[in-house]
Amino acid sequence: MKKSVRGKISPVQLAVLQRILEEKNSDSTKKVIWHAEF
Amino acid sequence: MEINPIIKEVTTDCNLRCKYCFFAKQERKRERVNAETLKTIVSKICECNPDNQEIIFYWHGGEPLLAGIDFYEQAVELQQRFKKSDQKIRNGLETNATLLNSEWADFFGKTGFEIGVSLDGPREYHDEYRCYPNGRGSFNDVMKGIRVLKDNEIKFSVIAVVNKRSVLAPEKIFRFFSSNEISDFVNLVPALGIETGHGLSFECSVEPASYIDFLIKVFDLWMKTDRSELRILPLESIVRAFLGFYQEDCRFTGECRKSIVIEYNGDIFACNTYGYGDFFKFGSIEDGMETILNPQKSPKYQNYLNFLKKIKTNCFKCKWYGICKGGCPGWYYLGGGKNILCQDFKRLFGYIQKNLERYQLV
Repeated sequence: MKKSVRGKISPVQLAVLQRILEEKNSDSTKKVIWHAEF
Repeated sequence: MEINPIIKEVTTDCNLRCKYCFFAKQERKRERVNAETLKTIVSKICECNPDNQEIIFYWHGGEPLLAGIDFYEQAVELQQRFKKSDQKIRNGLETNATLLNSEWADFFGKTGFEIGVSLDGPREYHDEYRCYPNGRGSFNDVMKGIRVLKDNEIKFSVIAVVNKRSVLAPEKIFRFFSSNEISDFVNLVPALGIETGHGLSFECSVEPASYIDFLIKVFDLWMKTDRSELRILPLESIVRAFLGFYQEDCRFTGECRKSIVIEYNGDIFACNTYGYGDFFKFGSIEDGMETILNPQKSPKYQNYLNFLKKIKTNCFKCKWYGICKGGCPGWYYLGGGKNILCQDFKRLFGYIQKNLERYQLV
């Protein structure tokens, strides 16, 4: 099976994966606190 | 240099006594950052960052709301006074949410503070560990605080500690966060060793293998959800790493030098994942960041950089290095030089890779 280019939008049916692919490197991924703390 | 300060002890005081807290075994002081130290912190941090840098101030405690709204009003005013014209300032605040009210919500709404709330899941899992000094669970009050945030349209993330009980209930934990629509962002962090002031205690901690088993089950549930907006960390960070996307999760970026911890008195430490041993204490904010974090001028900082380099020596050969970049150095510290999560994270990476291969994404 031919592999897709890394990060290219594939016909993914899973909502979460589709969202991550579409967001990719958009600013919305940076507007949250990513700190690994509690 | 780019430095995002974690003002860890806005106040060391807290109204809760969570059993796995860093301070659980230590005497709690009611110390707070005073006005002069606050001014020094803000001015030095702005000064050391590049002209066009986005700087994130993380406000932690203890419970940071105990410092009072006027403290943060002053901080914001100082940030505006000392920031360079092209610098952009962000503020993050991590709270147990029990003291939130409409005044706080107004302030957060006006200033754009990004809020993180500590909530471990349903009451039975939360109240076991997150309790008041008299042993009463804090779940009801946390949920009231969350209601205040929601009513005022303040967005927030959740940090859920995976504890000894919840690690056995991945489905209940996932369903709680996905069905209640509490937040779109949930960070599932393991309860690991507690800094006691004299060493580490593991009495409340989860086994690394159990934590990874938990994450694998949550991953399967997450993949099946139709709530596409739900971000579950560290799983989302790992997926993003496989896809080669921008990564800010400090567990997988391979460096923690952009963040430092500043205590209430201005003492500067490496990330407190390590605890507060002298080895990780670099100096005081009074001495200026360029002195403290300059390897040429600071032997203590140079020792720390050597430590970071040394612990990851074997990682460069690993097939998963591109995903985790060696992981969090704190995990090596907790393991006495051996990364306590390494073997089990490899299992998780393999599992996620197989799933992504099914969709021809890797």
